[in-house]
Parts: sequence; C-alpha cells; structure tokens
Amino acid sequence: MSTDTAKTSTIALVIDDESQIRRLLRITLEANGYKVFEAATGKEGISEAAQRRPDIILLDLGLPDIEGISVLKRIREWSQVPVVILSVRESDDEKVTVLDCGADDYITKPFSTTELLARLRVALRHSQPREETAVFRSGDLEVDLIARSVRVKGNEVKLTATEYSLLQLFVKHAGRVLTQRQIMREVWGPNYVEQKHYLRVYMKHLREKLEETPSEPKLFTTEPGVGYRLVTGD
Amino acid sequence: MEIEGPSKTGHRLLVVVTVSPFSQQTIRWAHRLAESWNCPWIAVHVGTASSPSDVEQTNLTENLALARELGAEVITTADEDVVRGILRIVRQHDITQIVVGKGMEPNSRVLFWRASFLGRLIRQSAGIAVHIVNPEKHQNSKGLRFHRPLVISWRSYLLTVSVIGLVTYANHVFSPAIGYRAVALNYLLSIVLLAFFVGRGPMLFAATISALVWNYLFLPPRFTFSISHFEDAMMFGMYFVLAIVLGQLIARIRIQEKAERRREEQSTALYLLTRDLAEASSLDDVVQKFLQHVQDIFKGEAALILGESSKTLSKQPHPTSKLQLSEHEMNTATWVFTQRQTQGPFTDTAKVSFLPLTTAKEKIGVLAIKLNQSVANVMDYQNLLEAFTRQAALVIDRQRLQEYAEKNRLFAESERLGKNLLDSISHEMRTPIAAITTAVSSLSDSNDPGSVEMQHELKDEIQIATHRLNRLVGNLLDIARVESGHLRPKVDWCEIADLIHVTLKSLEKEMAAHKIRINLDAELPLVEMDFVLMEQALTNLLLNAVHHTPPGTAVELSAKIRDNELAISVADSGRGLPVETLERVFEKFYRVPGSPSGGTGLGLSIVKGFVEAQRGRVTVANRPESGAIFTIYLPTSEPPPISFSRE
Repeated sequence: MSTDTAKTSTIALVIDDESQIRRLLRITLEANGYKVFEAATGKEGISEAAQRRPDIILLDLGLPDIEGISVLKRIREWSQVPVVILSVRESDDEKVTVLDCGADDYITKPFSTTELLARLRVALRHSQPREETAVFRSGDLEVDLIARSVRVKGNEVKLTATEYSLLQLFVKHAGRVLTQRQIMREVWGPNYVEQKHYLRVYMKHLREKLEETPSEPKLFTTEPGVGYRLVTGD
Repeated sequence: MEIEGPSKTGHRLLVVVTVSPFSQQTIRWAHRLAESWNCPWIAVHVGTASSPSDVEQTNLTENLALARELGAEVITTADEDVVRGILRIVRQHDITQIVVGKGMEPNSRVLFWRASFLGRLIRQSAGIAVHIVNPEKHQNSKGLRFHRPLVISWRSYLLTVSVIGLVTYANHVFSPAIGYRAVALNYLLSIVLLAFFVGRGPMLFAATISALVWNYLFLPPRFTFSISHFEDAMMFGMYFVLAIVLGQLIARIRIQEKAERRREEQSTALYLLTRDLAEASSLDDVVQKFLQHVQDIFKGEAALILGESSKTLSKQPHPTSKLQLSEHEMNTATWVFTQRQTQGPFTDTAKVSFLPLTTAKEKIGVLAIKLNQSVANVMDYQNLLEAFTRQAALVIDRQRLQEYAEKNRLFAESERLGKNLLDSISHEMRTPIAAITTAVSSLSDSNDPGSVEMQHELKDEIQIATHRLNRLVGNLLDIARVESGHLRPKVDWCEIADLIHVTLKSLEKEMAAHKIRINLDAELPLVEMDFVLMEQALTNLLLNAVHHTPPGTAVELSAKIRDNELAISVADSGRGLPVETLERVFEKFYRVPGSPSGGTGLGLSIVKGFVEAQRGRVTVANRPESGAIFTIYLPTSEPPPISFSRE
C-alpha cells in the first residue's frame, strides 16, 4: 500500500448505491492519496462524472435506477476515463458484457484493498499517454516489441505469428483483464469471436513456451468466465 | 362392489325397485333400515319382456339413481317372472331381508300375477324376512305422471293381425286341399314365428284370434263358433293351450337371450373401462381414458367437467374433452352438478345430455355427451352410462385423494426442508457474525488494545469469519440457481489443467493443511463445459474433502478421459462414508451423521445441480483403501478443427 503510484491529485468517483461501501472506499482511497467523490445512483454518477472530470471511476453493477452498462455507455460517449467495475460473483454475465463494452477492469466483491489499489493503478497507467516502452518485462519474461523477440530467463523463444500477436496484445494491456471476445477480435478478427477453442489452444501453447510451470501459470492467469490477464511486476 | 362381506348384524338387504314413482319411498325406507343395521343393501329391478313407457322409464331411472346415491348396489336383471328374478339375486347375494312396496308390484299387467306376486314372493323366499312397505299416497304435484298409462304397442298388434290375416287367406286357398286340421298347424307355425317379433300380449292375442278364426272359418260347421265333433273340440282346446304355451316359451327365451347378450356386452364394456382406469397414472390420464371409452361405447362426443370443490364446477371442460360446450350448456352442467340430477334426452342427437359424477359422499364432476345417433333402448343406455360415470367417479375420487396426499407429503417435506434450511442457515450465519462482533469489540476496546500479536490473531479471525459468510451466501445463491431451474450453463471449450489450477489457487488457504496430489492424464483434450460452474463444483468437492478429513491427510485430484467421458475425481483419505448414506449425500441439507460442525449440507447438492446442468453426472463411492471418492463425469466430443491458415 505504501508503494503508491497514484498522484496525490488523482480524482476518483465512486458510483455505488450502498453507503457503507462508499464510506469504506472513501476511507481507503483517501488514505492512499485519492480525492473521492460519491454518487448513489447511475444518473447522479453520470452527472458527477461530467462535472468532476474524475481520473478514474469505480462503477458498481446493480444500481437501483439504471443498468451499469448504460452508465458506462453514457460516460463513454464523451470520455475515455478508466472505469473499474465493482461486481459480485452472481453478476458474471453482466460483468463480461460491460468489459466488452469498454470498461477497463473489474474487481469482485468482497475484495481486499491491496487488490483494489493494484487494479486502479493498472487502469490509471493505461489511461495516461506514455512513451512506448520498447521492452516489456515481467518475471522471467522479456519482450522486445521493436525487435519482435521474446526471451525467457534470457533465452530466446520462438513464437508463431499468431502466438506473437497474442502476446503483443497482452503486453499492450499488461495488468488488465482481457475478455475472450476482445482477444479473439484483436488477434483473429471479428469473424472468429465465437471460436473460443482457438484461444484455449493458443493460450496453452503460449504458456508452454513462456511459463516456468505451464500447469501453474504465473504470467498468463485465467479469469474464470471472463478471460485472461498478463500479470505485471507490481 | 359395495357389498363388503357380512355386516355386524349379519344382514344383507334387498329392495325391489319398480317403475312406480312410489318405489322411491320404498327405497328410502330400505335405506333407513340398512343404515340402522349398518348393513349393505342392493336395489334390484327385474325387467320383463314388455317394453316400459317413457314415463315408466324415467321413473325407473330416477328410482335407480336414488338407490345408487343412497349407497345401494344397483342390479338390473331380466326375467319373465319377477319373483324368480328377485329370488335368483337373493340366492346369489346371500340376502337376508327383502323390502318390497305394497300396491305397486313390479311391472305386470296380467291381473292374477299382481294378486299373487306378494304371496308367491313370501312363500318362495322361505327363511328370508320380507318387509312390505305401505307407501303414503300423498298428494304430489307430479300428479298425472303416477297414473300408469295403458300402453299398447299398436305396431305389434297390427303385425299380429296382418300375419293372422295372411295365414287365414292362405289357409282359405289351400284348405280344400289340405283339410281343416292342417290349417291349425299353419296357424301354430305362424304363432311360433310371430313369437320372434312381438311381445307376450300380442302373442296371447294372436293365439286367441287364430283359435277363434280357425273355429269360425274352418272347423265344421263353418261360419259358426259351434264345434260338431268331440275330437275337433279337443283339438281346438289343445290348439289354444299349445299356442299360448309355445308363444310364452319362445318369448321368455328371447328375452333372456337378449338380456344376456346385453349384459355381457355391458359387463365387458365396464370391465374394459375399469381395467383401463385402474392402469391410468394420473388424473388427466384417467379423464382421457374415461372419455375415450365413453365415446367409443356410446358413439358420441363427450366432455368432462371436473368439480373444483364440492360446490363449484370448473369453468372449462377438461382439456382432453372433444365436445365443446356453450355457455348455456355449461350452466346446465353446473345445475346437474349441484343438483346431482341427470339431465338430457339421450335420444336427441342435437342436444347434449348431462350426467353427474358422484360417489356416496363427493360430487366429482359432470359428464356431457352428445350422441351421433339416436339410441333404441334409452333405459339400458342410461344405466350403462351411469355405471360408467359411477366407476369413473370412484377412480377420479381415488386419484384425487392420492394426488392430494402426495401434495401434502411434498408440502410436509418442503416444510421440513424449510425448517432445516432456517436452522442450518441461521446457525451458519450466526457463528461467523458472532466471531466478527467479538473480535471487533476486542480490537476497539481503547482501554485494552492488547498485544500486537493478539490484534493480528483477531484480524485473522475476522477474515476467516467473513470468508465463511461469503461462502455461505455463495452457496445459497448457487442452490437457488439450481432450484430455480434457470441454470443456463455457458458451455465453452475449456482446458482441464487450467480449471484445476484456477480452482486450487483459489483454495490455497483452505487446503493448506492437506497434502494435495494431482494426477492428470497427459494430453487431456479440450472439453466443453461451463468453466465457472465447474470451478464451483470442484471447489465444493475439495472443500468437502478438506472439511471431513483430518489435517495432514492426502487429497487426490485426478482427471482422465475414458469412453468419451471426462472423469474428474476428488479422493480423500478419511474414514469414508457410512454405506447407507452414500445415496443421500447429494440431497439438499443432508449431512452425514457425525460430521464436523459447520457446513449447510448444500455443497454437494450444488455440485450435482451444476454438473447435471452440463449433461454430466456425479458419483460417490468409498475407496477400497479408505476414504471417499467423488467423481464428476462430463461427456466429451471432438473439438472443432483449427485452421492454421493465418500462421
């Protein structure tokens, strides 16, 4: 927690109908240097988002007035602000839909503050314009995006073209969850989004080539029912 | 059917039912007697050859219906001699008491019979008490109906006269050649033949007029009624007796044969109905089969309207009914239902007839029937139809009781489950809440903050408790999803190793005390499943194993493909399960006696629900070496090919 990367002026907007959750999030976020605004309904959330211009939005699914997906779509009409979904296990389907529609990440209630802050950091980092790093590193993995070379523990690994574009996508969104649909669309094209067995086979190949123990992946983790995530160093 | 062995008093009562409206009083009297003795009783009607009038038929039908409603077994039989018919039934049913009304003896138009009926009945029923009921001939609004009209079957007499006329003409032509004595034989032959077509009255009439015509036209001296020779007189007398006896005999044979055939047909029809109804599995099935039989036997379209309670009739005929009813007809049906009165002509093919379905105690419903063709013998038809409806009423009543009992049983079961649910849920919720409350109150005690170590322990307790609460809520939601029937698995190609890794990773803390052994077939193919449901199912199996076996023991997790099935099994090294509980462990809220506290008895039923939703199955067995093994089987198929065109 102490290794906070958020700037002190980071503005967070919490849209959740439960006042206790809002209170807890405010306490946690303010303790970590965020400035917090709250909204109890979807409508209020949309207008707060327009007024306060937050750097990040925490959006609860299951608001009393409008569906979370509508809130996200309305906000996305004019803003690319990162949105992290707060969901419960039972709203799996909705969560995936909202992610497919442009939410940045999700976190399942109940969650630990460590987990929450990590998600927020990743989401914030992706939203900021930054110089393209030529080399991505996580654990033993090292990807040189310019040279298109991949190394594990310093040893060069040969990847097929598809495997490499898959890896490239993960690196581009390092730390963020990628839904199966997003991956399929980006790597294989929109006509392949339903051919999810492709993804399984290639994920297996990728893990076999890049993970130390492929049956216990540490880099490419599975998000059940959602998709995959490339774990970053922090 | 309702005669069930000798009663307490040992009496068996028989009441003679006739076409007379006064018969109803006799029937009621017999009913009271049977009630006071608490003995079974039979109502008997003996039909004779003469066809009854419409009024008589109506009376008889009403009388028999009354007897039936009052709980009598109704028997109708046919015999030329009513006394003999009654006594036959008396012997067959070990009757000890006969009840008969005075002054309205069974249908007999011959005067001397009427006088002798009671006398003969009493004489011939030696050892059996005969009660003679004297009906009160009170004023009745029905008035004229009670007056028995003189019914002459004109057609029969016309036929008789024509036949005798024809034979007379033929005799007249041939008598010079054959002689006047042979003429008598011709007459006799014609009477014998006539017996096949007409009743007893016309027979008697034919015998008389043929004798007279023979005497007048052919016996010398001709054209007088006097007879000149003694042997002619003798022959005339013998002819007369012979004609009468022959006619009677043949008429009797005919009646009995006809009645026999009809009875056989009817009992076969009833037997088939009873058999089919007994085999029916549900109320709908009973109704459908009943209507089918009614339509087949009675040649018409039928509808059954079931009673919703003892007072109200359903608004719609039973869905298997073929006959559509108008609003007016539905109103009639309601009237028939409440009044328990048969309504309808049974003769008119344009109109619908209604019969109530009743048992001794209950009103079951109403049968509506519209005939395709008019019926010759209305009384017979109606009797059989009533027997049908009575049979159906009994079966429907029984079926309803059964379904009611089943519903009650299910209700009691769900009550019990509900109570179990509340008990176990409240316990399961209270425990962690109590833990959290206690821990938090210690932590917030500003006077005694305790050691840092203790604070850590308390925080750990809070975390464990919240974990437990979260799992409980998850379980409840899961079982609700299974129960609701709205579980729609999102089946997708999944990697088994990934499933197992994800599951184990999420259970790292819970399984820390056990030794986990993973045993996967090399090269497991992709299998279609709902990853999230399977993760939850596997989680529950693993938690179950951990919960019921001591720390330090091994839990084996294995996956293999056999016979187009994926088998994922979780085997523990505990004591295994008592054999008698193996079948029940997947039941909701079932907990093996003696299991450690904590747990709702939901986990395994969720596993079953989730796995079955994916067309799989889950089994449990005890391992030979000790411990239990749970196995999830999922069907597998070849994953679609992958085109490497983009490589």
